[in-house]
Amino acid sequence: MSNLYKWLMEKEVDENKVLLTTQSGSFTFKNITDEVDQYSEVLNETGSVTRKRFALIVPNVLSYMSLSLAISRLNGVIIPISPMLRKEDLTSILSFINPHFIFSIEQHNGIPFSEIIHEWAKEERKETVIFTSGNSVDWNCEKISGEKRLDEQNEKLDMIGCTSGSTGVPKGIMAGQEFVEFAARALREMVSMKEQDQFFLMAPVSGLFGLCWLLTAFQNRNHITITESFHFPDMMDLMRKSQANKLITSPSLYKAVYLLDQSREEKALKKIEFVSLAGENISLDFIESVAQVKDCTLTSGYGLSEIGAMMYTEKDIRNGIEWTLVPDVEYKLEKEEGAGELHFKTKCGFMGYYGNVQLDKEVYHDGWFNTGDLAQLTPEQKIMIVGRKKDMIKKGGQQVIPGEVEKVLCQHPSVHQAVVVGVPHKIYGEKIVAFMTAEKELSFIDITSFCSEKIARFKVPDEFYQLDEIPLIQGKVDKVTLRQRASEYVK
Amino acid sequence: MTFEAFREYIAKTVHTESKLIQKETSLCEDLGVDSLQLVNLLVEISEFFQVELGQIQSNEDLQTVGNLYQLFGGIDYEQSV
Repeated sequence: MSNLYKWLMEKEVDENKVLLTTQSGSFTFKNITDEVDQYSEVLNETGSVTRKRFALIVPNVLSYMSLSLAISRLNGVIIPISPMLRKEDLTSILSFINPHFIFSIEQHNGIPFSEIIHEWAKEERKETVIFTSGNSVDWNCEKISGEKRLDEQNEKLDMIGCTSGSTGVPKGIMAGQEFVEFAARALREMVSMKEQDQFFLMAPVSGLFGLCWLLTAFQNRNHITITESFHFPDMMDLMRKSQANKLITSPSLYKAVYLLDQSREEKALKKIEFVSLAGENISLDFIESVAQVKDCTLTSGYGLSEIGAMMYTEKDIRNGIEWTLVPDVEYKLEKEEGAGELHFKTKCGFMGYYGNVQLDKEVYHDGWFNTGDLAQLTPEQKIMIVGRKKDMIKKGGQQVIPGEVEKVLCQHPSVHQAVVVGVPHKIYGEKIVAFMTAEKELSFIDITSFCSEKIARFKVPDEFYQLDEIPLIQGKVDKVTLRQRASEYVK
Repeated sequence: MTFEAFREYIAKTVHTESKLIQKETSLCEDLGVDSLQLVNLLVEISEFFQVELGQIQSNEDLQTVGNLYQLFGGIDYEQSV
């Protein structure tokens, strides 16, 4: 039994207390632990689970949560994977994490996950146990034979959060019990968590942020409602039925719900008195669009999947953004033309990128993690985020790595060179703009369809421009000029 | 706002050919529009055509191009399809 599992289960609770609500129903502590027992039994039947890696593509939150707890109980490593991925980004992550076990939905949003996974496992020629299900409840098991995969050596590793890497190689963020406990303390602080609070999470639990929220609420024995569908009417129906008083989401999702709420008499946001926004910068446009929200405090949190939540705003962001550091977090700024790169140090530190020591060295020195964000101090010595040094785009709270999209665009037979940038957008937070060069005139309809088959829909560029040549500065792509051009074109 | 103009606008926004867009075309399954893109589309249509969004009662209202057109009060729907 892992220390993470012990920590999650140690707090006493009335076992009939409802702790989780989704579109599939409401579940008590007992419902959840019964499911955990059942999954533990299934896993035990497969042999030793200790230090085995489990890839989970499970949109049903109760099943996903119970499976995660069962894997943790048996000392396995949890690796959540987004069900929004397509063939190329999914198989690239699977090859990278090298899972012993895969639990996956058969198909989701028309994508045949089961077929893609079986094909991948057969090509890998490594032993893989694949569980598939049409409803994330009844599972079929198939063992693909082949070379045995090595067990995980790092005993403190409990989970790996996967994202697409900038060089085409995925990135796995390692996390253990210490990280989850640290994240939980920070999240509790950020939302002033009280025993009677009920939360509504509008963020995917397949990311480390969403998973930490799910585990934090469960460990604290607070009722959390989590949407399994990201279609707005579904999310908003669930919110109307929910008694949640605190909402956790991204600025773009909150703004979208707020806009859609205007067209309904029964408001989804009616009972929400506190909102914690994360995943994107708060823009002036956002502040203006939510100026009329009444009887609700809007706050924001800042953090990174690698090191957790670092700062939060205690006061309503509409009165100005003033960051407060999470307890046991230190910061420093490395100057660079007025603004400096923002670094953080925490008691728990950074466990590292999975199988990529070189990348660890690039971002983590002497306990300091380089966020890649640029910040400066106000005259009152408060931190103000002013930009980002890294290329990463944040669209609707989801991270999009330009390098991954550029790689796919360049695979198109007509595209010669491709550069992808993010520009501010009133609904998405940032939108994806692609600049390409080619010998002949490109069909953006054709390129959209080409990308949609390979990568998750949210990563497909929103705007395309064909250029005669990509601007360079000192031999490198001049992204600053391209961002300016993109902003002008978008206007 | 004619249905023709409406589908032309959607085609341009989601990078597809307008002739592929019919009243039965599913925004999500056929055009690959995700939920946030859909909200963006609602806002952009509302601004571009200067029309108000009607009351969204269920997912069905946002499922097909035809339903979306009606949500915006598309008046020559029957004639123009």
